[in-house]
Amino acid sequence: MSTETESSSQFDSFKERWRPRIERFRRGWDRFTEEKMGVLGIIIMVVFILWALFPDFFAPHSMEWRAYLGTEPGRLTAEQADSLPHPPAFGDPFWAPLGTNYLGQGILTLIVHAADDALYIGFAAGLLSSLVGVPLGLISGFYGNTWIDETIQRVVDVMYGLPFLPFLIVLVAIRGITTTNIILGIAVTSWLNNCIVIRGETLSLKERSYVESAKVAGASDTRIVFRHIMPNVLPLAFVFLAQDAAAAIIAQASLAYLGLADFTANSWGLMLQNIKSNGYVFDAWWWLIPPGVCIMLLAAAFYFIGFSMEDVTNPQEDN
Amino acid sequence: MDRNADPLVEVENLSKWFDMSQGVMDRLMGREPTPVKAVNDVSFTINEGDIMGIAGESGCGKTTLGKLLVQLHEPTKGSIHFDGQDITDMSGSEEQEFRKRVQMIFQDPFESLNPRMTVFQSVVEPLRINDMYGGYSERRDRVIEVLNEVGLSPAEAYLNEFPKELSGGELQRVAIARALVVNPDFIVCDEPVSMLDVSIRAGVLNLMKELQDEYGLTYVFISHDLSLIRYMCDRTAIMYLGDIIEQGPTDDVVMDPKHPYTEALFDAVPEVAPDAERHRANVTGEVPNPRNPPSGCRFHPRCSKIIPPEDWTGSQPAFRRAFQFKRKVLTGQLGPEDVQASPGTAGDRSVEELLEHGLTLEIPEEYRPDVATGADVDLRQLDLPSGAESTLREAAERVVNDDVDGAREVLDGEFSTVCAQDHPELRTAGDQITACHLYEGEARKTRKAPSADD
Repeated sequence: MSTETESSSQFDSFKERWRPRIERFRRGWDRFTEEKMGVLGIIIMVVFILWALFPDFFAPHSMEWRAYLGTEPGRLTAEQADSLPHPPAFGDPFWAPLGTNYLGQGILTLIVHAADDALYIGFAAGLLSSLVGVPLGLISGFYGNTWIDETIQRVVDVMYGLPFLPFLIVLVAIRGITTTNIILGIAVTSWLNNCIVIRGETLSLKERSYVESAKVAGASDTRIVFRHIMPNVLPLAFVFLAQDAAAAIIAQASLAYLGLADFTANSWGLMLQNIKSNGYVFDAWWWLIPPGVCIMLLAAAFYFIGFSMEDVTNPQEDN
Repeated sequence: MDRNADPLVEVENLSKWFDMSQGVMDRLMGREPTPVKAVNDVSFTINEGDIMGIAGESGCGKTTLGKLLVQLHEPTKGSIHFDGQDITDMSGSEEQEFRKRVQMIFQDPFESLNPRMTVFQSVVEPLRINDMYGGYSERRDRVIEVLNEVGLSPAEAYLNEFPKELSGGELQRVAIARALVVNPDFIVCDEPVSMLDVSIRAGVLNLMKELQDEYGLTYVFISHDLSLIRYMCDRTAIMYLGDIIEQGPTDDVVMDPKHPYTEALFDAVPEVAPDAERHRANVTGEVPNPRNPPSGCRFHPRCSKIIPPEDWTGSQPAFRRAFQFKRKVLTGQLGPEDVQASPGTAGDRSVEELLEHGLTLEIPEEYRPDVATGADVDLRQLDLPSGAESTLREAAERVVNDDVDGAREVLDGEFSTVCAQDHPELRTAGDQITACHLYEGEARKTRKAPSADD
């Protein structure tokens, strides 16, 4: 009996503790939905995430499917091969709502199956550059104008001198063309902006008197950085994460277009590269437009969510 | 106030200089850094249970001094003893103990609370840091108790509020609660009500006084508002450009200021009564650059009671004017462009004009001897010794002929005063101590402080 009341009072105090946070989350969500752009971003993102998680449910065919043949092995007749890439076809002679490419693969199938690759690149590159840039920026700003700050900033200066494409070509030449290497290459060049902006913000935040009042109360440096400064730079960091993710997706697409991508993989950028190398740019609009639109939509979704998050976490004109 | 109480804070020869670092270029060129002496060689004692006021113009170093007292800045020189312990050289556990006993209240309540933390999170933080009051619910009870004490009741309604949802007065009460929650002995208040609406200042000040009795607190109260200092403080120190120039019991400092600067400061306080005669401070010029403070007494370029040398036969105001003339020439504020009559054509008139212009003091009207003649001074009415007048005339001639260096040569060594040469020590004057050459030894003490209207 007594243990029961104890655990229930523990539960109460737990509830008491978490209620403001839940309340805060609900208020944040309300503010997020006020911005139509953010809602749009969320919708796009959810669709792409569902594609990535359940491609077989959304794609009309599996990856092995070929026009005319289906999943059976076989050879196309000369007439059939001539009709490829085939424009959108709805049941006659086969089902491919966005048409096919020159190999007879369904474009919609390829698009849906490439979503996980694009999301992986976006999130991995964005998170990686935030995880490197934000802590280094915080440290650099908090110990502003000391040797720690100087060291980090000189490293950043040197890295800024790295030209993106030549650097990536060298990296890929040394370590091989894989998606992971491309993510690494993108992250190595994109954490610099994070670091510099977060440092600037930290430099101004650490002069606030609430930081000083925490110091007077005896707070350690770690506590000041993580409890008092980091929550105030997070909105900014989130915007940069979204921007980096969008930039990474576009960078990977342009690298694929330049032939600097794993050509056995399936990605939107690679589809564009294929249409160029096979010379169908002016002939097969159904093959050209969808991957470009998907890249644009995903990049836009990251931006939209980033900007809306900034409104949520940093309510400037809150009445 | 118990005058025989034990000293809680003893400050000795404390200095804080900023900007001591050199750039690479400076080091290569061998240039010495010129630090800003925000606090320079300050000593005082605060007794337990006292409210010590620190007053002065903005930029005089009062906030830096406050931050030194709570170890937000490391002193450049000197020592601070808190309850007998040197706080500039503490071990980890000693510092922890010190942090529990000392708190600070900041000027801007909108900035001194983290905008992303609720009232509860802000107030409980010092308890968490110092690991006081066992568990969550005990800490919560303590926070509610303190919030009620500072007049935020019912406290439960405030716990989950964010700073932006509260008014300035409420925020400052939260900041006070945050300072009190660890039950400290000593609180430094840096202009605690200057950002608040006038209508709620009295409430916050009275609250601070009540809490002083309840918690047995010792306050340092930093303010530029002298009426507030007078209302709150037992003892007062006046600061000017990093120096404490006068300190003593507040009543004595207010009623009978010894240092000319203190006097000027109190003159500048507006009177409430509409028919009261408006006083203005009898000072000239602006606060000098703290990177390059004046020699000797920091206040001498602005002082109305600057001391003439022993062999000066003229009047003190005349010396003040002559000294200002010299300063203007040396600092380049006075040049040939100040004369409208062109030299040569109008004969002697240009020199006269420059002299009249240079000997004029930019002081409020009531201190000007000859309001009728306009802004410029009439040379014949000044009680200048003839030797001094001819020196001034020669310098003025050179300035008019565009030979400013020559004029500086002529003036070099002339009109020297003890105020510009020696830095005054703190001396006892009446019930307070002050740093002014006027109170140096018996000989000068008998010198009648000259009035400004002769």
